[in-house]
Amino acid sequence: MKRDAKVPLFLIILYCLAHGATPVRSALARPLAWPAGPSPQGCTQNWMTPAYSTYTSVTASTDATTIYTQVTVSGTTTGTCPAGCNQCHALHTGSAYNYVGGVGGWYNGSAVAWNSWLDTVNNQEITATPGTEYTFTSSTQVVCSVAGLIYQVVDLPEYLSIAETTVQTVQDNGAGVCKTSSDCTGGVSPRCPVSPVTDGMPCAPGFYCLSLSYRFSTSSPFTCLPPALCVHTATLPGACTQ
Amino acid sequence: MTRLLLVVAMFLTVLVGVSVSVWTRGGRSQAANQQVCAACTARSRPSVSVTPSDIIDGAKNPELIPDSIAYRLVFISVAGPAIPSLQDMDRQRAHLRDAGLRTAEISRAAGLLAVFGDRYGDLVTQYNESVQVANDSGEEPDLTTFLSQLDQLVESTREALAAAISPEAAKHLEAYVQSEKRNMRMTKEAR
Repeated sequence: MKRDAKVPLFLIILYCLAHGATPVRSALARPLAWPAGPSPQGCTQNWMTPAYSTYTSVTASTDATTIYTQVTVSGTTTGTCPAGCNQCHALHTGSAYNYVGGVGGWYNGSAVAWNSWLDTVNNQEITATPGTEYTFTSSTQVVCSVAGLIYQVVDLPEYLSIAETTVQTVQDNGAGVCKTSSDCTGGVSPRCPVSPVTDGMPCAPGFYCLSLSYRFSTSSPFTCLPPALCVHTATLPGACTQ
Repeated sequence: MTRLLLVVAMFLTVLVGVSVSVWTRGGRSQAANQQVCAACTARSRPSVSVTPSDIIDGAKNPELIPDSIAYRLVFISVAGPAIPSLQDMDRQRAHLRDAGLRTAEISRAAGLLAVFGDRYGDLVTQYNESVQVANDSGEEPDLTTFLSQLDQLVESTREALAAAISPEAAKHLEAYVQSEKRNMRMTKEAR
């Protein structure tokens, strides 16, 4: 798959200054997609219709030591440029903001013709310490060189973490399904209880598991994302993240 | 003497570290496939600001996100770049594991998604070239045909994936894409 080339923000600002358009960061504050005031010569307002979609995804690496985040904006702008309108050579730039645990930022795609198809993907990753929360903020936007901000999605910040859970097998069905109960040092309640665990036959006496969890404020409850990654452990009770 | 003790202590520390690492790797290789997380649920992330104001928010109305767009976004996301790094490959495996595929199925799916990525990139390149020609000549590009080609590519990839994995994994994949709609936003005009 081809990706947009990375365009430094200052180049976009330079481009916008040269073409009399609104730079990206100023456009962020604009509530409307179209400039206020009379439309340019020969143009009717709102002849462009943004047709974009945004997708954010989060996952933990296969060994649950890394958190991967991805922010994508994809689509095009539809419409018919009116005859005599001086906006027909407008360029559109898709941008994706992906900032997790102090890593990442804006990724600006190439400026393309207003009715071209664009896909801008911003991938980030962070090595995660179990129990530590990492703030994930994301946003996408498409900025038109003549109309300014025409599409924007800003998501609520999210707090991501890897949670440890130690469990002991309490029932072995003989077919590899191990019913478990938490067995945490100090008797703490784990953030992400894990049961059952699918194992070989017979079930191991205990498992140490890692799960990706998230919440939307530092005071709200956690939600755990499947699947948990578990390894055998003989150390019971063991580590758990509350 | 103090230096000697220090060196011995460091050596022992390294030994303990190595043995823990080996134990962990050994344990992981023996432990089996998918685990079930009792407290787990689909991730859903609300938006705080959108433009235009009538954007469809999959966190609130996942049923309004068409399957064709949801699958396309997931396939673009999971397919990764044309030349993937080790991290890209691990990211892909992690997503496909989240989608409920087993190790052997992940390898097959990765191959099909690579084909999807190549064809998708080619279609977009061809379309954007046609847009340039159309704009220069004052004509309209054929967006309808392009979108139809994208939908056909998504559909054929879905079918190829369904044939390459078990029926159970296919159900998991379908459920995964449906749950990921909660992390999608789109304008009403997006196709």
